[in-house]
Amino acid sequence: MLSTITTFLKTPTFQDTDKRREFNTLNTILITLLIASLPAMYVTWQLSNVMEFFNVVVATIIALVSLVLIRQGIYAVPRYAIPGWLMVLVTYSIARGGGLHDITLSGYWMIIALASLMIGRPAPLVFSGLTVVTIIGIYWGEQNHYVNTGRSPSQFMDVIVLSIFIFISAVLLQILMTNMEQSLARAKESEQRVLKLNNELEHRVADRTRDLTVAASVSTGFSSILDLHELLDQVTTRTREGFDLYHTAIFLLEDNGNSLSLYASSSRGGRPLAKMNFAVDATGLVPRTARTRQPVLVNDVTQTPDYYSNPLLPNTSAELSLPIVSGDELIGVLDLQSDHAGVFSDDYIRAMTPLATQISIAVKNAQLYAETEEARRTAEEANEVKSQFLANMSHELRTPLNAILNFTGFVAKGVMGPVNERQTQTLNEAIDSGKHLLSLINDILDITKIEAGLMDLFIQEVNLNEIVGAAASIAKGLVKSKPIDLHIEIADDLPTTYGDKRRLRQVMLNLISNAVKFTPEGNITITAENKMDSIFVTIKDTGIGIAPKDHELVFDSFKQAKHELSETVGTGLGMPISKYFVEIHGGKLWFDSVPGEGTTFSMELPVMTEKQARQISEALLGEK
Amino acid sequence: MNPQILYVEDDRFSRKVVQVLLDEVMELTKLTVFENSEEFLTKVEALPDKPELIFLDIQMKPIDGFAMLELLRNHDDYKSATIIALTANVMAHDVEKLKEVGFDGLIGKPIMSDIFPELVKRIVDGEAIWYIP
Repeated sequence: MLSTITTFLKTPTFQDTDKRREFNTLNTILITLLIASLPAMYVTWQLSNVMEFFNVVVATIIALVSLVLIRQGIYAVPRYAIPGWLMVLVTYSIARGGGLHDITLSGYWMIIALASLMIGRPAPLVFSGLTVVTIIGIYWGEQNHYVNTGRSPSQFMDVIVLSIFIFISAVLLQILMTNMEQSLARAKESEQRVLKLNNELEHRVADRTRDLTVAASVSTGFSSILDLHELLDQVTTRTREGFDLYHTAIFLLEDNGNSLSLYASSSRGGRPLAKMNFAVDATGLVPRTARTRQPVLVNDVTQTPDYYSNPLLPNTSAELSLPIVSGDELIGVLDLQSDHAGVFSDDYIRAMTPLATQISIAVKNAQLYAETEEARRTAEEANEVKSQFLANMSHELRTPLNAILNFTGFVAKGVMGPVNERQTQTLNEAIDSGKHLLSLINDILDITKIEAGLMDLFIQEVNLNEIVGAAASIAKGLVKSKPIDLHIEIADDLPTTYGDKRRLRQVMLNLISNAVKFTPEGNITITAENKMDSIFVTIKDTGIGIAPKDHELVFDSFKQAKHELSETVGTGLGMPISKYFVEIHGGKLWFDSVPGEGTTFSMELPVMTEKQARQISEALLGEK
Repeated sequence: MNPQILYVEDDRFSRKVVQVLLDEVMELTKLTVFENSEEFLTKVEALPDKPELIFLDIQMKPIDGFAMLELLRNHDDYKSATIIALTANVMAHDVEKLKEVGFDGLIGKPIMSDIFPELVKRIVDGEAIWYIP
């Protein structure tokens, strides 16, 4: 029971601050009235003043009913009931007491003021009217003896004066109220405007943030797509999905900037458009964008004379064309279409501009990549042709040499019948020339491969003892016919390394045969030792030496060929080739020479693991 | 030492060189020579004796040395024969390919008659020889 009452009397909650304020005011007044009525009831009961007691009871009932009504959202009744009842009370007191003579205006003014507060603008006039009617009523009652105050009846002048005072007060109050209400309304209006502006701003910020976020996410990873067509397909699809558009397309400028070509497009629920191409000076928003290099925004295509209507895109209502520009160069046009008229805005353009920039960078990247790819492919093909040519040349030169060298050899050795010594000697000279020709072919092939970057290595385990040992024994054979003392000092602990065995053997042979060739008589010393993960080989001769001016030519394949040095040294390619092979094995080849005293060639070759050697070999292949 | 030898070569000068070296110089008399690779496997199977040592030229028609090797390696009778490439294709990548596909060795052209007998001897003895002149 109590809880029902409490629930019933509970203050309702209001969203609107004005409503709450109104409720609180009424509530306070009514509760105050209720509290004041209790002692009043007691006093009037004790004085046995029935009429007064009745008055207080009515006031209490009005207060209680009003308390309930305002909780139901009914305000009109309490608003009018309280000042109305007060008015009745004051009138009753006047009629019972001293008549119109006796009244002070304060009672009525209080009523009118209270009514104004509770009811608002119409109250002062309504209640002043009621008051004037009441005054006239009392005056009329006195004249006709219906009201007997026990004093002499009021004068007509009293009625006039009182009515004028009440009326003037009411008008003043009314003006005050009107002013106050207007100020309040204005304040409220500005508050509303600020709120609305705030809301709009928040909306715009949110929209722009969303657009920028979508634009950013749409362009994520663009720069890593290097295939132009895949890139543009991704751009159109992701842009259309990201911004929920009807259709997106990218046109790239072609034909020296004279025409636009559709590279990619994406339609909601539709197939991509077929390849199309039109001139930059054609009619349409896309060509217009290309001409002006400015975004073209059309929010209602039906109102745009140069809108090109595509039968495959019947739902297009708005279109936005953005130029794709890289630096000063127009690359193409990004075309966006929506099936909602009016969706595009300057904000939209601002959000899309960074995307267009991203696209331009990505397109440039892709185009650059395509060009590089093309150049690489061409170079690769050219290398392939060169490589094939070298292989063919090698094959075609070796095959006839096979017959020349061997048939001559067979005759010289008497396999084909008896030959005399002179014939044998001549045939052997022919064989030597043939072998020299073979070494020339080998050298030329090698140097050509080196210069063309086509050299490849055959990596395998290399026993350096074996290589150096074999070279030393060949040296023994070479010096046989010459007055040369050969000294060989090879350490027996030469390690095993990895590299191209044939090429390392070639280097050793070249160094030794050179020493023999340039030493008419004297000594040749071959040393080899193992020091700190490298082997050091020296070939020291007491030959003719190399003039200082020729030093820099020894390892230079081109200069040397033109120089007189080449007259004495075959092709002169042996040294540059040797230096190349030593260096790609991670080593060094150098010499010291004094003309007339001799030359020392030195080689340092680091011991390599299989992995290191393979890395070198792969790096060589990678350079191709 | 006189193994059954098969030599397939389309260049007549090369054939003559190898024939003289094997047959006359080294006196390895059990030598058969094919002048081309037509019906290669049929002709190999028709031989009265199974070849133990086979020299193959690489650039040949209608099938090349690699195809001949494959036919031999897929044949139970010749799977374990010693097969040597005798070719003028001796660039590093050629050699690598020869090793990859399963040749047992290489003697590059031009043949060096002074060391050829020794190379063959070492091959017969089971050594892997990859000789490029």
